[in-house]
Amino acid sequence: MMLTSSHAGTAEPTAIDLRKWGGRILSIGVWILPLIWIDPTTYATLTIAGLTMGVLLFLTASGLTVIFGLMDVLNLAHGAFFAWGAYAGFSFLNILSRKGWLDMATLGQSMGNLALVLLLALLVGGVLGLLLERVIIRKTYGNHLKQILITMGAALVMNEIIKIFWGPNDEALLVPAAFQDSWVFFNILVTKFRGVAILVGVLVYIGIQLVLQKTKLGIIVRAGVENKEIVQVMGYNIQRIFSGVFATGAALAAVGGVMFSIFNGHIYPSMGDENLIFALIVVIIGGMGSVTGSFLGALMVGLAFNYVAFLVPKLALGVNIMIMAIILLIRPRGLMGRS
Amino acid sequence: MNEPILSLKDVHTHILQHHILQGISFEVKPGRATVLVGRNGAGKSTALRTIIGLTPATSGRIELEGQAIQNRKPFDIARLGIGYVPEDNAVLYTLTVEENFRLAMFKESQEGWKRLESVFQLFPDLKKFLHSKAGLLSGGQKQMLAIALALVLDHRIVLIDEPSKGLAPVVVEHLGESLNHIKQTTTVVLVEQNFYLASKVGQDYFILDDGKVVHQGLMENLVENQELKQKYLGIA
Amino acid sequence: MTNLNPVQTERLQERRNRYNRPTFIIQLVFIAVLLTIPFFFSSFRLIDVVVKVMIFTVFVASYDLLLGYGGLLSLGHSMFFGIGAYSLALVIYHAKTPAWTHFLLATGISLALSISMALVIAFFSLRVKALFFAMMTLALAEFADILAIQWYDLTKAEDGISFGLPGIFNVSWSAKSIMGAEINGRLMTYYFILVVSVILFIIMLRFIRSPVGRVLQAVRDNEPRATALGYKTFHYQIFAIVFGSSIASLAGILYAMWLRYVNPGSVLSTPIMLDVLLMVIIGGLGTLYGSIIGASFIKIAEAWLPDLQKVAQELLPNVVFAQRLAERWILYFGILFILVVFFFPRGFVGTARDIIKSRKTVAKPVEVPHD
Repeated sequence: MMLTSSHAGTAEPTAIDLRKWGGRILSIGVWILPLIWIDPTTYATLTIAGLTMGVLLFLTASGLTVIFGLMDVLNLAHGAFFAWGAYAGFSFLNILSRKGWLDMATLGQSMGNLALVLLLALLVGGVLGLLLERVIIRKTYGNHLKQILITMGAALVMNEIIKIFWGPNDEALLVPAAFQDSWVFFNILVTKFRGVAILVGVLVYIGIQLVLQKTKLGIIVRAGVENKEIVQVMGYNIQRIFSGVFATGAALAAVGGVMFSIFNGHIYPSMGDENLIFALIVVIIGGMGSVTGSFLGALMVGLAFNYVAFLVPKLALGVNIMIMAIILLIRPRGLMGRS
Repeated sequence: MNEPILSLKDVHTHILQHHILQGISFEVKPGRATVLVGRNGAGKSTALRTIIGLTPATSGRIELEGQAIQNRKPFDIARLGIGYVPEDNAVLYTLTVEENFRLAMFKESQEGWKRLESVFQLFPDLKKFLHSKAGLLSGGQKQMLAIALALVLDHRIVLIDEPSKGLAPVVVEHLGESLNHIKQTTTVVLVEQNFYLASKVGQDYFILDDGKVVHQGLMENLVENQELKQKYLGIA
Repeated sequence: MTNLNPVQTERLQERRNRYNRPTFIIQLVFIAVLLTIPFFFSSFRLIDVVVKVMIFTVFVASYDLLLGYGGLLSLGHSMFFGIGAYSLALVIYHAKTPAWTHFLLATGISLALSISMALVIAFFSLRVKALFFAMMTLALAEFADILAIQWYDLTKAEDGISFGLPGIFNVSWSAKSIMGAEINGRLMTYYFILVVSVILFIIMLRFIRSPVGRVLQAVRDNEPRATALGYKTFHYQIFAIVFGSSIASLAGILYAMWLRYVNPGSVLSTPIMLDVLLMVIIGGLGTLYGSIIGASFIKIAEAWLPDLQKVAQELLPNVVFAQRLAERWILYFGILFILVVFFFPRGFVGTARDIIKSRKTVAKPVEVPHD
């Protein structure tokens, strides 16, 4: 007695191919096309860099996409969480360095340092997220224009406060010692940090999926993304869930900020805004509300950026905008979004 | 026991600038099935939504066993023991049937799972498709699931909005039997356009028109009253 | 004379009274003041602020066309401003000696570029929801900014491009002074910008009162309704975007004329976009005159803030923190912005109009008694 899903697509026959396969072609194309122009060793290095960047982008994008999917809120201040995480991490690393901890050279010890910094970032991001949600976001539910304007203002304010505390200049970051080394596989140099970053990113992705699929909380959040009203009438305090999700998203972005700043070796106040642009592109490509979508989208964006940065440096950001434009044209809901 | 379990007193509800409920008052007696009938746009669905708090009342008083609930949030009202089955999208399509039940159960407990067993007695299909995504069920099965979700908890009163919409007559028949079974243990407030179902299940009726109650009484009397049926329900 | 329907009679009435209304007198006075300022005040700073206010008024008003009257949230308007500015700068820079034809050439190039970009943007605005449109324009503007910064060969990146203006606009040109004011290149440039700004502003005013403008507002308020009435809403939105963007480019050309220097930070980047948003919100969305208020407020504040900083420095000379606090005036603008969006979403002019309207209403609507 089972009928087909009520979400059956209604595409015309000729367009189906593009809509169904366009996304997949694009995703695979990003991985494979560059091989035409780049030699294998460089390709491997670029791929590692691209995966690292992708995975770090995912940290910001995942929060953004779930917040939009669940709360229908577009938070343009999300980049500020990224920046604050980075700056908090920067100060903390300075403290660790003065204690001499950073110079401890085993991978395990460096990872221990990293874990501490990440913990701090989680805290900073979470607290900022809760604050922002309570003071500002709550007042704008349902009004996208107000959200966009107000969160832009909030981002501005948060960035300016960073400049007040830390000054407006570019600062170099102190990095735990072991991360400056690399492994060598088949002639390919892999900076240890990149490996760790990819690992962390994948773990976060798996962690989020586990929570979403296997826990009661995950069921509540997934239900809320689909239909807030049912969740409310079943007795759940949706406002608390919103706050929690928002804070978690912010915390993840902050972690992304720390990792990214270590990856790049320096911090600067506008890093949040730059990251936000990429994260938005990722969310559009992956589909609003889909964590897997933003994971795949983030990898795609990271890879595309690095390949193109090697081939035609000026077009690196442009290529991602192009991908976003193509997705918007052939499959507006994104790779894995629901319509 | 004739104290009403639920009462509305002069309730007004506005949606944007539209004045939907214009001073509606009625009482629901415990242990009986009450039906709200009336034309499209009379305000029946809005009345239920106002009770559960999704579309809050702009003025008036709503009482659950004497306790005022008109200003509370939906989750608060639900926790006081009111179940609600909306007209559309009453079920979460992207979750499995089992996940839907777990969600409805709020706090998962032994009693919860026991009640689920008795729900399966009523709707055996749902047990069969326990691990399928709810979106794959047929229309009738989705409605059964929607009602089943409201039965998983021991609610004092259950509000059901047009469960028969879009269902085949055979399925409506089954629905009617299920509802009759349910009303033995829970107070049911039903909004229905399908008069056959309304009369089969309902014991008390309230006719709504233009956001007000224009007539009320025992269902057995309404069934006989051709004039009322034609005037307010459009039934020849 | 044939009988006119009510709408036509009203418009005729409006047209006849156009030159009698008090607001018209105010407008004349305002323009007279602008014309004579150079003769009363020789302070360069004042003239500088006035010019910037005029240019940004036009720029902000063009943005209000999109957002306030069209309901289209584009976050990339600064890109068009930059296109205009850079067109002029590059044309003159590469030609080595400035000439009159360069103005025409620059205008042509910038309009061509802007219109094409605007068409691209407009095309996307139909295909996607408002949210995505905003993000897309944001990304595009960022890209333009990064391109300008990285493409050294073309744009000289952060160093910027300095150039001179032809003929009477040139800094070195001068003639006798009249009535205490030196007639020189600056003065001529001032008047040129004044005249062009006023013309552009009037064009925009006429536009919003024209049939096309009114349909645009109808589309903003209720798109399905407008479509049902038979209007191809898409065409109106495209027109608004192209029109607004073109004017923004022209404003950019004027700005480049005045500064005689362009670089990404001053004409292309996010701060410009934020400035515009701030000005349009403070002034009032959907009110062209609001752009005058918004632009004046922000530009005047920006001009006198360095003085404020000096005061702060004198009071607390050694406290770095306090100095940083004073420097970060953008922070205060940001907070102001948030407060305005929360409490005065209609902006200065919008709120004022609301107050006037509510005072004018004679009878309150009768409440349906319910007891």
